[in-house]
Amino acid sequence: MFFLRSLFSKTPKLTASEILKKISLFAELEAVTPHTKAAILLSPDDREFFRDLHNTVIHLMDQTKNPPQFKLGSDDHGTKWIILEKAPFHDLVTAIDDISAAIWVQETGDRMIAAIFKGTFEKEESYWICNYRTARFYPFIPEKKTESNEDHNMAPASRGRNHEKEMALGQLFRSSGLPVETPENWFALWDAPF
Amino acid sequence: MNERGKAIGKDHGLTIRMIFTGFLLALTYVALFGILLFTGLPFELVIIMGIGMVFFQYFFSDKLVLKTTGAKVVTNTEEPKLHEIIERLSVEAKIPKPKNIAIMEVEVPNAFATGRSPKQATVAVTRGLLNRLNEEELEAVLGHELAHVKNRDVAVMTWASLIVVVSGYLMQMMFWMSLFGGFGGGHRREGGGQIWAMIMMAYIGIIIVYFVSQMLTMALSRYREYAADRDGAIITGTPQALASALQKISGQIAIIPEKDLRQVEHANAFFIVPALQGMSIASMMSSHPSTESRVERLMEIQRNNWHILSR
Repeated sequence: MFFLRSLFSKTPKLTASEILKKISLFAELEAVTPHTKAAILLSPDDREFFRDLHNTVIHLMDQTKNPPQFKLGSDDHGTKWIILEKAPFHDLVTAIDDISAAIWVQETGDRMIAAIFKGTFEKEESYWICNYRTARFYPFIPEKKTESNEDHNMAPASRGRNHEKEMALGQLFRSSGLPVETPENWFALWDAPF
Repeated sequence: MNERGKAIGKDHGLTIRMIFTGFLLALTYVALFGILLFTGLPFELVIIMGIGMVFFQYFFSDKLVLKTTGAKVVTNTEEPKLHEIIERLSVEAKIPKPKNIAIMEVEVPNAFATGRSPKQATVAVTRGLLNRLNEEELEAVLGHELAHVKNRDVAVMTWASLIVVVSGYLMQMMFWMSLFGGFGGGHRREGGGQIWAMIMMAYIGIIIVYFVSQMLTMALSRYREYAADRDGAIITGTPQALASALQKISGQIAIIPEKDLRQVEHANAFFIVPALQGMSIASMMSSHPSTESRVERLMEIQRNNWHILSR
């Protein structure tokens, strides 16, 4: 088996759930300080599930251990944010995993875009984004917002991303065993409401 | 192997893959000679030409590469820093300092090593590389190039590609023969049909040998790159610096998009990504592994050996 594994070794693809668990270990690294907020980004449609999202989430929260506080957010893209807060990082991960699984079971999983965690890395506020479609993580470190920037789609010249630190954070993801998205898919999340 | 190398140990999986690829490559030689014997075709001239080409490449590759890339050999006085780093790393790698150290006056960051033996080696870097990398990253790249020198990769890859050169020549020759009736088509009515069918089979066989050997040579080249990454990391003790340099050289930073994920999601463009995962034909025919997979391996070395590397 070792011989065959050596020849064709490919790390088995992890499920989103397994990857979410790995982020808990990542958050324990000295180089990062996890925040007490995380979110699930959804692209709702007209299905029953999304019509009363607040009550749906309350119901989903009942099924998770140590449920964190939550609030709903929205943005100009028509997407919805389930924002979990004021809880230890591990509880946030568990809650996100449980909620994602529940959404998946109800056959609305195709509307899930990403799970987003937040933390400080080298004194910068960073987002740790898990893309549900590819089950891979990537970093997003926006530069501090300036007054002139109101465009959510493209980063104006006055506001950009700290690519050097994103690369370093991406390496840290890799070195802690997280599957990492290829850099051409490190799409931004401007003005995340948390 | 230095103390660090002993402590880190070998990548047995990679060694097995290299040996297996070498074995398959040897089989393609057997197949090619089998085809030639089977058809009784007089291809001695082509084989001699192929060997001649490879010999030429083997003995003059350094001069050829310097000429074609426009790299200029620089002295210790002209580039003392570069000479000092290479000298120090050569001692660490236990090889003689390369004969030539050269610089290409271009802004694209890159580096290469050539030469049939460590004594005859040439290590060249571009001005862009010197400008863009910090000292630790530059050392890591030079460590990688010296690992190529130490592992005699120019010699290994030149000889491994002999089969590709020879079968490529044969393929071309048979193509032109088929166009000008050299396959015995004119004698088909006099019982030449059987010979024609046999030669067609040989032609197809040679095409297969060409593509398979090309693929295997490229695979071997990728494995040698991984090995040079690993050995370079052992020489310098800084795999993360090489990872960082690779990302800068490959321009990965430049490809990070400014577009928003939600915008992309609405355009459904993201569905393409999973479809592109896995081993593509392009990646099988590439001489270098992807930067992503090299970075991943380097970070694994860093992760597994941090206690040795931090010494």
